[in-house]
Amino acid sequence: MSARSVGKKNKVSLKSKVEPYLYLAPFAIGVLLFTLYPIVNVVLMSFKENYNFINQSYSGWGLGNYLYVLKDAYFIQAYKNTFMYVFVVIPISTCLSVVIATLLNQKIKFSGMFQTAYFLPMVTSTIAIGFAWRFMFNHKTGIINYLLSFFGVEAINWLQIPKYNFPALCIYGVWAILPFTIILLLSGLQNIDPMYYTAAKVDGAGPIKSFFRITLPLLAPTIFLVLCVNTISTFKVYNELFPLFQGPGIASNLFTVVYYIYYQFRIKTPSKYGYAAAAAVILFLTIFVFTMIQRFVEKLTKD
Amino acid sequence: MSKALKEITLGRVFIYLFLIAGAVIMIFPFYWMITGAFKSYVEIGQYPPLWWPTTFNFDNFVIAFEMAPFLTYFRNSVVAMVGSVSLCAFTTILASFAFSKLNFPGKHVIFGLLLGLMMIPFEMIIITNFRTIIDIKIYNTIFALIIPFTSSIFYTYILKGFFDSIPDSLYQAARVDGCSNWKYLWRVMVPIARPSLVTIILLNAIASWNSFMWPMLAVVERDLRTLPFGLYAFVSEGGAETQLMMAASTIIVVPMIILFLFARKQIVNGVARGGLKG
Amino acid sequence: MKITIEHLTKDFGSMIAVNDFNAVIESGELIALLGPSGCGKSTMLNMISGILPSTTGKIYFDEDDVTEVTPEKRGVGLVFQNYALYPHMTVLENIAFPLEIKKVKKAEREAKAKEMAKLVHVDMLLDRKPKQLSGGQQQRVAIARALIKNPRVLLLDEPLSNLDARLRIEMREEIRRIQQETQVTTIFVTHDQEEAMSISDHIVLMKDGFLQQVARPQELYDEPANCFVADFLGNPPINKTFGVVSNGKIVLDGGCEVELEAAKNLPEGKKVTLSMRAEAIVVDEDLVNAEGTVVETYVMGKEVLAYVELGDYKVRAYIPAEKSFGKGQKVTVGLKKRGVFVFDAETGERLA
Repeated sequence: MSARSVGKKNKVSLKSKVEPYLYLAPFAIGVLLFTLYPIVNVVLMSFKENYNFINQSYSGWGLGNYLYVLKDAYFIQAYKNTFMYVFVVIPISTCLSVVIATLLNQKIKFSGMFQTAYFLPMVTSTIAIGFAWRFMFNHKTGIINYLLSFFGVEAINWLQIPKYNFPALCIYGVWAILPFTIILLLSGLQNIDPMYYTAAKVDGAGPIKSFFRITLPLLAPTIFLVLCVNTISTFKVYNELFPLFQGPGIASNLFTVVYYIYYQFRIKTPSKYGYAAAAAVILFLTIFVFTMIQRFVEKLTKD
Repeated sequence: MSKALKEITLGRVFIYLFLIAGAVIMIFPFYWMITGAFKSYVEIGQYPPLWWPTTFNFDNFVIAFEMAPFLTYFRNSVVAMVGSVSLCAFTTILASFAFSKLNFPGKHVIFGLLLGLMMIPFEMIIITNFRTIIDIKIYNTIFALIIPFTSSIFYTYILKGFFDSIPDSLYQAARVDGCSNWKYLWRVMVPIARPSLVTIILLNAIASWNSFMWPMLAVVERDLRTLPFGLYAFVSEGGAETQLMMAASTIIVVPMIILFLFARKQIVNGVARGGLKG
Repeated sequence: MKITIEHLTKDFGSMIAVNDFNAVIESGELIALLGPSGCGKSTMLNMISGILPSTTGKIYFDEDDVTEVTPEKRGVGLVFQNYALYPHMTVLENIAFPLEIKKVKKAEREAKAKEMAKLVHVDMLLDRKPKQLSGGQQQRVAIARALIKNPRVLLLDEPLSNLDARLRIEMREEIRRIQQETQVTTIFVTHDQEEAMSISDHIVLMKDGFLQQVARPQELYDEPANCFVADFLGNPPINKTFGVVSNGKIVLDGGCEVELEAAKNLPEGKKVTLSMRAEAIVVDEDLVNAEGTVVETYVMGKEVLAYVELGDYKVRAYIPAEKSFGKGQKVTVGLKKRGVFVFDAETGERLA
């Protein structure tokens, strides 16, 4: 201890003190201006009454925006639709993905070609390929109704009759989210030690048995992660509405939370920034809950 | 053939049939879009639908290009993509290096905060960002499509993770040899991290190319639109006929298909790593 | 080049890794920095190289105070435990890299790199990438890269720990050869006493951040400054017993009396540690210092390892194979001068 107090401290050069910040600066500018500041600002904005976007004036602080949004029929509809969408798309896509990923993980020929086919939708524009779906969903000339006619199904007007809008959106949604889901699950499967399968085979377990007794339990953490990540991303459903319906369904029947935000500050005149901000904060809180559940369960499974 | 062998073979056949059926469904919209782009007005309206266009010509593309400035859209998309992706790669490399190899007070706290920010949905901050680009006077310019995307916490997080896996002794060895941080970063770290960097750049490029919501807000002028926005406007404003819509959609999708065919492994690995981490 | 270290301390806040360290390292010597893991020897090395800033104290290279000089300006060559070769560069590029940073012309630096490669015997591997090299070859490349700048001092951090046993012996002799050819002052860190004993001119032994002793290898073994040094060196480990000085004898726990010339000058009632190397103990010969009981014997070819009970302690002794003892046999035990030490049981300091 004596040597610690005796003698002056040796210096660290000024350059090595300043340098890290220079490396961070370009990154920090972007984060501060376009991520951190907007968050603070949106939260503040959501509590400003009668916020005027042009001159940035407001009449006071309060919960007015939240009260309005929570009572707004469009928002209630949007929240319901969004939840419905999540509850339909997530289970279907996850189940399908588990099966497909398991099969893709077998020793199969042409696995490169299969992967290309299954993953391709991931890199393509939601808008462009959405238009292809719109073409496929066409009431009179669409391929989907044509194929359904072989099963005796009458032509469905997917896009122009409100009650069929939601199923159409879900079909497209499941198709679009499959690649990402399969990739994550496949990567989870590849992390399972093949030793377990060899052991199971020695013990006489067939493929079905080893799927349920080995694959599923060992894949469970990945499945759970996928559920959370996908829930969060499907919660932000928005882009898909444009190519299919050019808006929130054919009769404003398919509002989603993100579309509602967009609607409040971009479609409505005059723009209602306060309402949009309040809706954005509610969206964030919802996502936050899912994230926390995910973290919590992740910790549980790790211990 | 023994019974067991028969069962195995049957199982394999089932696997292939299932996978092929699935693959056909996944690919079909692409097939339908591209063949649709070559059908004539009459052909596309036929019922039952034509599986294959009778003639292959580029009439629909020519007409679509005449009706809307798709070349300009294409150029805008490329400029926005190259601009934002290269700037973002630059800031990401520098920041990842600082977080991974340099020491400064508050490093871990700052990084923890950034991870927290990662769960903020872009849709939430878009309202203020719209206001910001007006305030800094880049609204309705090509810069509005670049400047907000010069920093990415997510990619920094991924690249920092990779930088962390490069042993510190390499850094110290270079320091002892008189290598500056700057030179070390570009001469040693970046070449070693090249696979990770390429993945990040690819993912970012795909995201930029396909982005729709932001360009729709940030630019109004027709000549500043990017492809997805331009395509959407082409259909919604002009009420374009289906075969033209398919032709225009094909223009957007084909570059990404080609990219994917060449870099599938890297993209897939990147998505898997990013998804499992984030 | 001579290295002088004065009152050097490294305080990490949570712990003091190196505490008030003083040593002089003579020019042209090969020095082993020895100690158990976590003793601060790597921290010490990193402070000499300049990678790690010291908290207080001074480091001099000859007459120059380099305490606050950055690593690149100190003129040190550093070889890392994991070699730290740049994976994307060839052997030639790796060796030439320090000169590339100094902006030496390409032809010149490659010529120099080839010369270095020849010195360390990797001149036939110049176009390989590190991944294609064996551990020993990587080590040689790392040494060449450290030497190319003509450093004033060569520092090696656990240079042999990543190698298998056979290569380890080969490489330590190589390090000795290269050091003697270049005459560069060399310090290498190791936790392996045999490694340190076999090739170094002087050993610097550390424990818990404190310097224990600086000495030539044999001297360290024969004349340990304290109990820790005696414990740390030697294989099998030194026999360590505790006792009290009484009437010029040492009475071990359990009552065994040991007559010892050295004990005569020690104060009555002093608690001491009596440490004896196995080879310093003779059984049933003319030399008699104590009496004990044989507990166990193991035939080991040319000699027998016997466990002899002295009071509460079982000590190891080597006895000639032709003698044979039964279990439980009472024997006389003799202690040679060399290899028997008495330490203060509380401070560990050498008393005799």
